[in-house]
Amino acid sequence: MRNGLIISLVAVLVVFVSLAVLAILYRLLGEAFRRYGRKNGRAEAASDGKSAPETSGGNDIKTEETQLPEEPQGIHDRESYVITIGHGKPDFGSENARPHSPSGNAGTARPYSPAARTHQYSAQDESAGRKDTAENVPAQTAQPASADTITASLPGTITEIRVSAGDTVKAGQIVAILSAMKMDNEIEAEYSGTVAAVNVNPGDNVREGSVIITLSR
Amino acid sequence: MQEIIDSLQQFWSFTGFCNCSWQHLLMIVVGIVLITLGIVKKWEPLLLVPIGFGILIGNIPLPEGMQIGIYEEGSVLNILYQGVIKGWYPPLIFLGIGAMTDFSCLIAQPRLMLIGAAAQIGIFGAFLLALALGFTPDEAGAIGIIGGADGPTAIFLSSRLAPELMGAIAVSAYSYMALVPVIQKPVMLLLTTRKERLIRMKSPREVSQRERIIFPIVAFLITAFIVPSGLPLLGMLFFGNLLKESGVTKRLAETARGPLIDVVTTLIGLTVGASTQADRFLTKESFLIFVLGLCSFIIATFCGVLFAKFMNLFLKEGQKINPLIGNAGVSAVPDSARVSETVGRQFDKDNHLLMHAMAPNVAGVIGSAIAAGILLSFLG
Repeated sequence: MRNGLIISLVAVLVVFVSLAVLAILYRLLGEAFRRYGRKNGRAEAASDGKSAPETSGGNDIKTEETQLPEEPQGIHDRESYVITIGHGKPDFGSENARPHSPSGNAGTARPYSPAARTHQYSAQDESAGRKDTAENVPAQTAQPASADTITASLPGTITEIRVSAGDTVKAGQIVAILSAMKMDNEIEAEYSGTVAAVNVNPGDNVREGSVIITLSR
Repeated sequence: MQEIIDSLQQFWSFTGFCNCSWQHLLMIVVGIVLITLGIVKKWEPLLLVPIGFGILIGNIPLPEGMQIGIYEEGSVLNILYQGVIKGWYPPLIFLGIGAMTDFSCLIAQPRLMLIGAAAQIGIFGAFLLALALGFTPDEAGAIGIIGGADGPTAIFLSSRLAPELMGAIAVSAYSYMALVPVIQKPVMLLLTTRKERLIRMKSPREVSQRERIIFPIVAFLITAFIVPSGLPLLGMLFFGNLLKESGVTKRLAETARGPLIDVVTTLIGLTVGASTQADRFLTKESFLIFVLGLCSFIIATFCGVLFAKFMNLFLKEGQKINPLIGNAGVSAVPDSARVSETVGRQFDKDNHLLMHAMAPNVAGVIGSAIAAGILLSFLG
């Protein structure tokens, strides 16, 4: 018994020490990386397995890129995105136009917005611009009061969309299901309004803050 | 005529009905319960369904000497069971786990790793309790590892230290993992104040691919140098993770976390289930193991949550940890992290703790592999 107590104490100590060493080391490494990343600006972020969508041509092509068959936990930094090329004014235009959003810094900047997709081009071009603003500057409240977005509160995969454009939704209504870590999260509308656009498809991977639905009040 | 009756009688003596005892029937009921829980309640179905059916297979009453039973050398089941006895299934599973685990939440918030270490105290709490109850040190070590809440680790260690208890240990580890929401929630609520449950944590920073590639290499070297006896588990875990993160071995990573882990999980579940033969499983020891396993889960949750609160004493306002993620230090990936999320959202429905809880959660996997290594080097 006394032996057992000693073994336990030693063992707990060793577990702590090894994880603490790892934690401290990674703390330092992380800082070094951040410094390095700052020096190299957005290059680091952009080289991170994804690059800003290139636009070209005027064809009406829908390209699907980097659809990785990853687990939900793998989506931190990679995700699928759909680019619609050459229909009206594609909204990633607005994204590219201001690659350095006021709030963006090297650490958190998103090289592109998963919201940069159009499913309902005609009515959406204008609201898409606003939606981008809303995403990149979430803290700003000075956005047009007529448009509102429902965003993903954690990274995951959209498994179900319960509304479509034109529907009216009430505050608190469940509009979509987001699955993260095999767990279904209900996404509620914060305000009542009309669905202006559904910005994702079931099966899409989204990251925190991605716009799922655009509302107009 | 007499011959026909004789051979019928002889055949009857081979059938299950003739050799049946109430213990066999009881185990068959247990098997059916596990299958039902897996299918209806969807509790860890990938494990409980194979284990449940394995229990059915293992508890068909057999006459001795037919070279069929799992404990009879050379039988088909016995050959499949070798992976469990010799302990080479668990490292293969760890390879797959490594290839599916995203350590980036951990890399982003390294301090949360300590919660994963704190939760391992549950292992040693149960170890001491088992010693007090009169188990030998080897058996106690194997029982304690249930608190690591990690099936493969539990099987790995118990196959080394106490093979005769392995069936009970594995079944209890897997059942408690499935019961994590029921076990952990009361402990979490008991230990936290309302104010603490509402703490919001900053979302973790983005982690670059380079950091994620370096992590498995560095983490492997450090942990393996400290605990070489954990080599099979740690080596495979971090190797699998490197396959995932390197970006150039996508095919290998996909096989490891897909077909390979599926094959091994099926075999491990089935044979562990089949090893729970009535005469070996329905013992007082098994009952005690179930009680001790429950204790170790509770102690582990306790320590995880308390340690998160302890860390808060030293953290500045705004950096504080929501102690509801403390329970996630008990590995059981991702179930215990999901418990943090659900309990957290009960009190603030916009407070998502899932990604924060994943950090102690995956640290718990590393922690329990280290703990297994330590126990092995002291006891093995």
